[in-house]
Parts: sequence; structure tokens; C-alpha cells
Amino acid sequence: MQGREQALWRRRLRRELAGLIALKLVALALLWWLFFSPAHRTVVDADAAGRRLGVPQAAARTEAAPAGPAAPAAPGVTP
Amino acid sequence: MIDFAVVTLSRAQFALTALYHFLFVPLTLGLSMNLVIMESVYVMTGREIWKAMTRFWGVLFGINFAMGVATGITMEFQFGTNWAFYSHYVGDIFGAPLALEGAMAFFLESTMVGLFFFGWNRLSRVAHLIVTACVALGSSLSALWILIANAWMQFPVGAGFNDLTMRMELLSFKTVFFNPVAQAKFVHTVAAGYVVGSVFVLAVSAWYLLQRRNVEIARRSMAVAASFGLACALSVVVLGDESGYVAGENQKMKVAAIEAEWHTQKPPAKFTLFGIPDLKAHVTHDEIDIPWVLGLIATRSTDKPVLGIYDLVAGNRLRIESGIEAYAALRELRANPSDPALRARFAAHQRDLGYGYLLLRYIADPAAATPREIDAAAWSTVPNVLVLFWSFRVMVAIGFFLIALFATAFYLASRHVLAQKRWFLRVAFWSLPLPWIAAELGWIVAEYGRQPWAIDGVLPTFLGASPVPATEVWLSLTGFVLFYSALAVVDVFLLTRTIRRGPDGLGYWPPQPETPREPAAAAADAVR
Repeated sequence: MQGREQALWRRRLRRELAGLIALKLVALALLWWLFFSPAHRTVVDADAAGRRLGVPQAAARTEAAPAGPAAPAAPGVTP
Repeated sequence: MIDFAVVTLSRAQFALTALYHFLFVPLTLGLSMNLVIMESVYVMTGREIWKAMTRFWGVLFGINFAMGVATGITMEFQFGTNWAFYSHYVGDIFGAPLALEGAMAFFLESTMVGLFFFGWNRLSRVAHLIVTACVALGSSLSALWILIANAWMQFPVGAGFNDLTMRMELLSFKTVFFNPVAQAKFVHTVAAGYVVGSVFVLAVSAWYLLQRRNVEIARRSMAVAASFGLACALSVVVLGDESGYVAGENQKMKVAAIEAEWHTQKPPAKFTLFGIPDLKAHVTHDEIDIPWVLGLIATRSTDKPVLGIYDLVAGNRLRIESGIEAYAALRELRANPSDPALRARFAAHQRDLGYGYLLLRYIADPAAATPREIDAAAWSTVPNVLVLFWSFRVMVAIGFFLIALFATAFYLASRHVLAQKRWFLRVAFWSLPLPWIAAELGWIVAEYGRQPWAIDGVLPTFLGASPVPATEVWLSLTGFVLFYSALAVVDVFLLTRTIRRGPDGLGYWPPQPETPREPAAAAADAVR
């Protein structure tokens, strides 16, 4: 009798856990769809940052620009 | 074109989530250290009552910890959603400490929290104490990495600008780690968190003594909170002084705004204890001053001046003019990156590039700015003096009140008369909200005082926001307000329910009949 009750309890626990996990997945998917899906993502690269700041890179130069080292650090920024 | 409504909404959203999050963080920091002290006494003495105390306050810690995690995660997401340009521009530096916080501190803390709750009957006393200490260490390490990231926003060191990638790039992690602002902020903030935790223990214990419930546990808890809290509250003042000195060296405008110091005074500068700053007339009415104090705090000398707002604005005007040169050189450099003459011209003015960006608020092409626009941009570097002036003073006043509170509690506890002084218990109980108010005001002073910069002198805040529709930010902002308010209600409900049940209701103390104890030990516990 006790074993049967325990089995029932376990089955109910499994069902509740599965339900909770499913609910959590739905909530996460909803959050992703509402806020983080590609449609809501702002892709920022050097060109986008340049356009934002009004200093776009010339198209021809973009392809030819060497991947040079960082410019010397600003005196106020580096120690 | 920059949508300033979106910038304002994004700022409001971040400020709101940070303020909510910061309700939970200091209590987590403070309670974890109180737990370490209580459990250390248990391990050293073997008295069961100290274990019961650790378990009871540990439950309250657990509730608060869960809420802190829930409110903290959304903040990190916002860097990608609402602050995409910010993330691109400074992510190379800012991302490292955030990632380290997640990888090192958060995992350590979360794992050890699990062991703390489920390890009581599985670990030895010493092993469990080590676990509790690791929880406290993890909490403080979390704070360390976050504050290193935050300090870099206040005083950006160890990084340089790359015109090809259009972002700041990390040059020296060591310099970022040992940023003097980070060191000062870390110890000041963590000590303030310890004060919050101690006031919480003190106030809740006072309530039990007023109710004449859980007297044994409440008396001991108050003694721990009073002694640890007093040491921490005094440390907060000393470390706050260090923060003030560091800010006086690196963020002169913030210090001038906090002090409403419109004009440079003859050194050593006086400290304005009370006053009503007039933002239009640029004067402070009804001042009550204390001679020398500001000069000593900000410069630790009697002959160095603390620059006033007018002088700092004049200096910033020059930097904006240099920033215009940097901006114009950068524009040409972007079109012709291999020209060494252009690169040299840019390098000569690069440190002021951020000041040139300030003009983008007023004009699309900073190189064509008029003196009027330059003047407006220079004055935009002054944060809201009224808010900073009063936030700082209320924070400091609460700090000194808490020192008095802890000192009184320490004195009464050492005389073993705490439980009899009901007037003091009432004061202690009603003091509960004060450390949170002080902590939030401290956050406002630090972050609102950084404006108009996201990264001081490097990136104005308005340039960091994502170009997302305002309706989307409204939607997420509303969602956050509703969700976080619900969390706050749940948190308060769970905490008050646990406190009302108390160690007796939870079965921690007095010991339950099914756990027989040595009569001698029980008697000893009763009198200790």
C-alpha cells in the first residue's frame, strides 16, 4: 500500500516538474521573442559606430584598410 | 539621428533596475559576513544556539540572495539590448570584469549557497564554516568585479582608442584591475553592505526583544551586529574619505557638484554643511560652512585648491575645442587610415575626442560648432548640483547616525542591558530602512554624478544607447516595473513571514524534543 502511494507521489512530482519546466521554457521563449530575437537586435560594428558618430569610413578604403595596431593610447586614458 | 526620448527611457530603465538590484546586494554582502561570524563562534565553542542563529539568519539570506540574482541578470542583458553602441565602444574592456564576475564569483557563490543550505548534516563543522566563508567571499568577489567595471566608467585607465575598429581596446588588464577608483569603491561599497546587513540583524533582533520572543538568539545576534556593524560603519567613513580623495584627484567636476562649489575658493576650501544650490543663478543660498574641511578631504593639504565649477567648465571648453580637432582628424583618418601626418594630428588631440563628441548633442558636425554650441557643451559637463549636493549630505548624515546607533548598541550589549532598554530597541527597529536609503543615495552620487558621461571623458551617455523604437523601451520598462515590483512584494512577504515565524516557529531554537541535548549543555546555553 505504502509502495503504491509512493509511486503515485513520484508520478505526480514528475508531472509537476515537467509542467514547471515546460512553463519556464515557454516564458524564456516569449522573452527571447519579445526582446532578444534578431528583429530586436542592434548589430554594431566599426562601420555602424562610425556612422553613429558621423565619421563613416570611405567605401573604397573599408576594403583596403589594413588591420593595423591600435592607435597610441590617449594620454588621459592610459596611465 | 539620435532619438533623445529613447536615450532618456533607456537611462531610466537602467537606473530603475540598478536601484532595485541594489536593494538586495548590500544585504547579501552584509548578512553573509554576519553568518560567518555566528558560525565561527559555533565552531569555536560548540554551542548549539550559534548554529541555530546561523541557520535562521541563513534562511533570510537565502531569500534575499535569490531576489538579488533575479534582478541582477536583467541588468547585464540591457547592455546588449539598450546600450549596443556603448557595448561596442567599450565592451573590450567592460566585458572582461563582467565575464569574470559570472565565471568566478557567481559560480563560487551559487555553488556554496547550495552547500550552505543542504550541507548542515553532511559536512563537518569546519567544512561547513569554510562553505559559509566561501559564500561571503563569493559575494564580495562579485562586488569586486562589478566595481572594477564601474570604476573604469568613472576613471578609464589601461585602454586606448582604435580608429579602425571605432572602439576602446584593452591595453593593460593589470591597470584596469588596480585602478585606484576601483580599489576605493570596492572597500567603501562592501563595507557599506556590511553595515546594511548589520542594521538588518540589529533591527530584526530588536523587534524580537520588543516582542519578548527568541530572546536568547536576539540578544546574541544584536551583540554580533553591534560590534561588527560599528567596525564597518567606522570603516565606511574612513573609506568614504578615501573615495572622496580619489574623486578629488580624478573626477573634479563631480566633487565640485557635490559641494556646490561654483567658484574656486582660496585653499583650504570650506565644506558647505547646509545650503540651497540655485541652479539658475549659480549660487548657494543660506550656506552653513565649516572651514578647511573640503580642502582636507579632497586634496589632503592646506594649500591645494579644489577647483570650482566655473573654472572646470572653462577647462572643459578648451578640451572641447581640442576635441573638435580630434574629431576632424578622425573623420579624415577614417577616409585615409594610412596617412602618418593625419595619424599624428589625431594622436595630438585624441585624449579630448570624447569632449568633441559632446557637441553631437547640439550639431551634426562638431567641426562646424559655433562658440555658443561649444559653451552649451561645456556647461553640459556639470551634473545636477542640487541632486548631488543633497544626496551626499543625507547619505553622510545617515552614516553618522548609524555609527551612533551601533556604538550605543555595543555599549548596551557589553553592559548586558540591551533587552531592558526598550526605547533603544524601538529606535533600532525603526532604523531598518536607513542603510538602504544611504546605499541608494550613494549610488546616485556615484552614477548621476558621472553624467553626462557613460565613460568619463571618453563617451557621452547619449551616444551609447541603441537606436531601438521608443515603444519597445516603454514596453520593457513597464514590464520591468511590474515584474520587479512583484518581486519586491514577494521578497518583503517572504522575509516578514520568516521573521514572524522566527527561530522558534521554524524549529531551530529552542531545540525540539526529538533532538535530545545534554542537560548541562542546555543549561549552559541558557545562561550564556
